[in-house]
Parts: sequence; C-alpha cells; structure tokens
Amino acid sequence: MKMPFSRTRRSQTALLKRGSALTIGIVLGVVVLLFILRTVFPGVLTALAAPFWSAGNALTGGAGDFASIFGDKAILTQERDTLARENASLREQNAVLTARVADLTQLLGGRPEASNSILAGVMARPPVSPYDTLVLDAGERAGVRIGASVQGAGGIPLGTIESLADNSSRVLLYSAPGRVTQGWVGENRAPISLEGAGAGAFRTSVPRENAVVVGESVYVAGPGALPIGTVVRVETDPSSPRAVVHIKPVAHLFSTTWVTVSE
Amino acid sequence: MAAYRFVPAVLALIAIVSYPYPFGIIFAAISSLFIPPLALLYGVLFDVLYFVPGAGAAPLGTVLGLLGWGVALVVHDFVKTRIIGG
Repeated sequence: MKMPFSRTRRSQTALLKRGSALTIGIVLGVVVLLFILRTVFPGVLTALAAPFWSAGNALTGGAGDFASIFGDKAILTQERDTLARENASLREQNAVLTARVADLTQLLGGRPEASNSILAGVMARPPVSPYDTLVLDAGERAGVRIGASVQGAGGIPLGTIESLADNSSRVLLYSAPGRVTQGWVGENRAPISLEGAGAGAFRTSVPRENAVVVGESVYVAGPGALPIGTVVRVETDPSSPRAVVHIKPVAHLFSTTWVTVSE
Repeated sequence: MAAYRFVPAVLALIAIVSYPYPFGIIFAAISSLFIPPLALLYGVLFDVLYFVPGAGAAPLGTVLGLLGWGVALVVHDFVKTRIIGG
C-alpha cells in the first residue's frame, strides 16, 4: 500500500521541480530579452509602456477632479478670490517687467536668432519613476540630442537628456540623488554646489558667514541665471563652520506635463 | 499553478508603469513570494524603463531584484517546508 503513495509523491516532487525550473527559465529569458531590447531597440519598451503611462496620467487627473467634489465650497470660493487677486497683481507686475525688458532690449540690443526649442510631452515622471528621471515623447526624430537641456514651464531648468530613442528620450533631473550642479544663491549670487536630494529637492553646504536665509532664491546657469529653487531650511551646528541648506524646487515635478528641450 | 498567484504579478506590472513606484515594489515583493524570480524581472523592468546613466552608481532595480529573489527563495522554501511539515 505504501509503494503507490510514495511513487505518487516522488513524481509530484519531480513535477514541481520541473515546473520551478521552467518558471525560472522563462523569467530569466524575459530578463535577457528586456536587456537586449533596451540596448538594441531602446524605443520599443517605451512605446509599449506609453499607453499605460497615458492611462496613469489620466487616472491621476481624474482622481484630482473627483476629490475636488468633496471640497468645502466656502473655502474654495475664498481660495478662488485670493488666487484671482494674486493673479491680477501678478499680471500688473508682469506688464511692468515686460515693459522693462523691452526697454532694456532696445537699449542693449536683442538676440536676433530664434530659439530652437522642442516641445515634448512628459510620459512618466516621479513618483512613478523611481529615479529622478522623466520619460519624454520626443526623441531623435524630433531633433532631441544627448546632453540637451530641458526646461519646465516658465523656462525653469529641470535636467538634461541622458538617453535617447527614435521617438522618446529620458531626462536626468538636476535633483537626482548625488548629481552635483553649480549654481548661485541669494541676491548676491553667492556660488554654491547644488547636490540633488531626490523628488526635485536639493541641498548644499555654505560657509556660515554667507548668512543664507530662508526664502532666498537659488539659480543655475542658463541664458543668464535661471531660478531653480527656494531655500526652505538652513541647518547650523555651532561646532561646524558650514551650514546645510535645504532647497525646495520651483517647478512641481509630480505634475509636470510639458517641457521644452533646447541645445 | 493556481491562478491567484498571478494576480499580484499582473498588479505589479500595471503599478510599475502607472502608479508611484512604492506600489510597484510592494506588488513585486508579494508576487515574488509566489514566483521568486519575478523580483528580478520587475527590478530589471524598473531599470529598463526609467534608469539612465548618472542616475546612480548602479541600476538599483536590478541589484534589489537579485536580492529580492534570494530573500523570496528563502521565504518560499521556509513556507513550503512549514506547510508540508504540518
């Protein structure tokens, strides 16, 4: 009576082992295939993932609209009024600054050449992307090149193109952990080395006598000095001659949908 | 193999391309408990889709995927032994 049971058990174990080996084989095969695709046909996987990224973006937008239904109407009205006032004030300020720029351009001479920026849609961004990278829907065919600079709304610098396919590209953000970018802080434009802290944030250390204060703007080099963030915290230690400065990004990376790519 | 084992695997796949990455990691971890090598597959998928040179010293997804596979194998064997041993 024991023999058939034992034989069944043995054959079951053999079957399980064969099944596990097959699963491992299939998974490793797919892993190798992924590596090959990324190396030889870098655009294929992006093209395959694009519909899912679009669906995710639409879902995120829809969830935001749905959540707004539950907002308190009085608070929303108050918020709208505040924003309307702020908008009017900014419009006036913008008109003044535009006039000043026009005057200065007339005085100093303008730049006659047209800018050759490429508009690109963002398919994936943090926090979907675990690294501080963006996936764009414009690639080599649209004229994007490795090392090109990427700007968000208002010309705010975001990062550089580091990987390219025919119809897509990947941007390494300046805020990627460990990435160091040279910049300036404050009205005096004190030079600093910005270190990426992930999710759009930066940190840097400055001599304490520089007296960096919360709210000061941080700039990186572009055409002139381009604002990239604002100082949100300054940590000082009496035993250290340097202060650690934490910087919040000007651009909201999690909701960046369009960017411009320029040489 | 029971079909329920593939549910977290499919959810992980969707989460990697549509939801914040912690969801992808959670579903990948759960699915690797049923099929251990999936940890490596999803780690590689993260890197293939999002990693660029300069984003880190090493492609973390692949490294963590390998580690996850090892851990999942240990957990998988432990659970199987406990169930069979009763």
